[in-house]
Amino acid sequence: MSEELILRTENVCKSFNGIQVLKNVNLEIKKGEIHALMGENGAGKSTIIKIITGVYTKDDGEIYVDGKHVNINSRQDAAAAGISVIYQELSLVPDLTVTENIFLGHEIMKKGLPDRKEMRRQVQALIDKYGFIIQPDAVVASMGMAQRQMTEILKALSTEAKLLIMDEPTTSLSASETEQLFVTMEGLRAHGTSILYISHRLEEIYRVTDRLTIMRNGEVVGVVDSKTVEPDTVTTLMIGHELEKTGARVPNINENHYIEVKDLSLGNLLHDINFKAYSGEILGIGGLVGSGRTELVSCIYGAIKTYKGSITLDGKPVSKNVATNIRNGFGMVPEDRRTQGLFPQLSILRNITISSYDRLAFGGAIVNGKAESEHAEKAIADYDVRPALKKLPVQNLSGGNQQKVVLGRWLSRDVDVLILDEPTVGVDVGVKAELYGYMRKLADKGAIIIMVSSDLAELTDVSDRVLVLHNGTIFQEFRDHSATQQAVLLASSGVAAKEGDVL
Amino acid sequence: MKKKNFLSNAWGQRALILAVLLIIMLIGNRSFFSLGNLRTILMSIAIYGIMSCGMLLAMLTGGIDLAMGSTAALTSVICLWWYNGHGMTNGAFFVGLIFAILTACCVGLLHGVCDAYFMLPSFVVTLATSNLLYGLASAILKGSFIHLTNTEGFFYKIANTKLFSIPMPIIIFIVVAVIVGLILAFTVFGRRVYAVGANRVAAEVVGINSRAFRVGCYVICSLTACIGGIVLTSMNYVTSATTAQGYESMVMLALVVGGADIMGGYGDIGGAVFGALLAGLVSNMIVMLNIDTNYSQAVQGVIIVLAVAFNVYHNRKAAGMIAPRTSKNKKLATKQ
Repeated sequence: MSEELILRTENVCKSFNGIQVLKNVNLEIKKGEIHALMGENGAGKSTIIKIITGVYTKDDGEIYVDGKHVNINSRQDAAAAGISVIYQELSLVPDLTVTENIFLGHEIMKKGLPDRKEMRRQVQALIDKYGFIIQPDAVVASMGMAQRQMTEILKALSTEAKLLIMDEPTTSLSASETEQLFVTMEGLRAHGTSILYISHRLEEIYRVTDRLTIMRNGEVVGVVDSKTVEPDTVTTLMIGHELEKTGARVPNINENHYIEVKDLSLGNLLHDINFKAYSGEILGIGGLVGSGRTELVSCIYGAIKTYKGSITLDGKPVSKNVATNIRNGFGMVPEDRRTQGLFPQLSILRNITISSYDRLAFGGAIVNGKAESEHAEKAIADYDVRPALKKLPVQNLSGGNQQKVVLGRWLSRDVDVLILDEPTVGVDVGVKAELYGYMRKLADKGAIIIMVSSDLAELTDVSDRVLVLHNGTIFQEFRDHSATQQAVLLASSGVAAKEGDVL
Repeated sequence: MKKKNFLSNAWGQRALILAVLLIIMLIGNRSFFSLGNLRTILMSIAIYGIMSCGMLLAMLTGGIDLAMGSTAALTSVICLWWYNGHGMTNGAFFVGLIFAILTACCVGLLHGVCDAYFMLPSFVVTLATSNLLYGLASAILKGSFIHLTNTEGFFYKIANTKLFSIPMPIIIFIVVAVIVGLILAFTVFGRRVYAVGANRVAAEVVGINSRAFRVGCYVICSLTACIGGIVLTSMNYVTSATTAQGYESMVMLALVVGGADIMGGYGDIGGAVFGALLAGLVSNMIVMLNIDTNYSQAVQGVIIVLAVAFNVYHNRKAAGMIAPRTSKNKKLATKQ
């Protein structure tokens, strides 16, 4: 049996500062399989990956590659063993071509000069072999994310990688690009390359993987066949208890309290947008990345000021100044929490209170330390931020808890208009359900909630009404929970489906 | 559990650095500890300290001001030039001081606007203005010196009086440090300065005008350079275009050793004060150890690099970014 395995870890353990984060992890990946690794944030997925790729050193246990025992103490060791990571933050040089990037640092030389012809030939051979849709002479800067990932993969293959590790490769991809990536992955599998695939998205696991290892609290809690396993089994294994099904709810809409967007246009990004968002409902906004969703909500929030048309709250114009809007009860959870939402090195407390000094300071200038502290403690308790240490830098929290902090920043001041842009990216299922609960509670209190999302399940299950943008216009509206995932997906690509159609 | 040692605490590390320096001086030159020299050290600590407080704000918001020394030079030249040219009265001093402060504000505004609004790299901009300001100062003085001769006036007394038997410059340093410390710890402005330094984009999302904050911090930074220059002039009874030359690098040393990050977001007043203490000691040590002036800059540079390396190493270790190389790990690696 063991000769069929490309990678086997045996009882790998790892501790940080005396806290054991991996307990006897046994991971087995067969040759030519796409193997998924799932688990909540903090389950130990990244740690085991970093041990396999030589970023961390294991405390105990053994690693076998291709049946042979190996010592992996550095990235170079991992590469020599044939293990390669496709980085999420891509490591390509944008100004170079595909070929130049692939051979960067180990160019084929001829008479002291790089042999471009030979390098190009080798890249073309790889492309032909795996059936990629990519040009060897294309400049990386001109390519989409999916093609950039292909280039990364080619780079790994050119060094004869036997195991590719992909950590959430689809987060920055659109639906069609994701599909392209899956086809690529299947091509690799057909040629005997193994892939370790990490994702939070169940539908992707079903779509493309063969087997699935599930981790919880630093341990492997199950290895299952991903084609036949029930979704409930997976989520139960991941979170350790059954997830409550959230059924459709009846929003308590107040038609006298609303935001109205009228004839809104922005350059060639948005054209003639008209809609109302009412108090009491969660309005979902769908569409592909680049369809104008983020720009639309930025206009409402006042972060983009150059739009034409009008945005009003109960008939009164909304300010084009973010600070004024915040004082009037607006709040925004931005798309990328790492670059737009968090102050990474500041404490949980400071991250929560930063938007509320209009209430937590004497005369708006001198901080009221007691009120500040209580405000943060209450938010940490109310939104179950773990660990509940208000002085801990927020960068030390898991993704889900970071998102609770960003959301808590606004919920703790009872916002009246809350704009959420991709509120649950990189958040595990358990925390997702919690976040949805907080959003619904806020809506029930009469707030206006506008939620942009690429997560189809989130759009259809959480929002009471869905608008789908396509090329800067509202392509379709789904009322009363009539949106299905397929219909929203089609509308995003500009194909109309009848409301409630089952495809 | 990991053993908590003395060095995992920032003040523990600082105490160790100080101890090492003092031991070097015990061996190197005992007259370092003479009363006269201690006074000299305290005076230079005061100047570095005043300027560190300002640069701390600029660095917290992700900026850097390499023109601090020349700002000090130009503003002190302007003040003393006006003073000497208008009868050396206290009134003339205050008018000169106002011109100096206005000049500092303009310099700070220029730096801030170039960095925050035109997105020019602050290293380059402040290096360029540094040359510009030295040039202006030497144009005013036509390359010569200007002396403070009126020992009765207020200008002279700034650095040459004592309050509760503490030299005035030290008092000024303490006042500036306390003010900046209070601002950072207890005001909304301080909270927002840290937020802007930690993440400008996120600061904008919560309604903070991050550009205005950055400009404001540059202005405060230039103002402390101005105060430092005036006090230094009063201390030395003389100023010229090369007054305070190179002070910015000692101030940077002070801040980085004190835990500030040139990328912004990290740093506090305690660290800045400690750093100023160290900068004062180091610059005095170089003199007291009779190091050839031709090498003193190089020695200073080496000390800066060592201090930064020590600091960064401990910060990374605290953040778990350096893999533990325990004997157990080595054994495991060599077992097979």
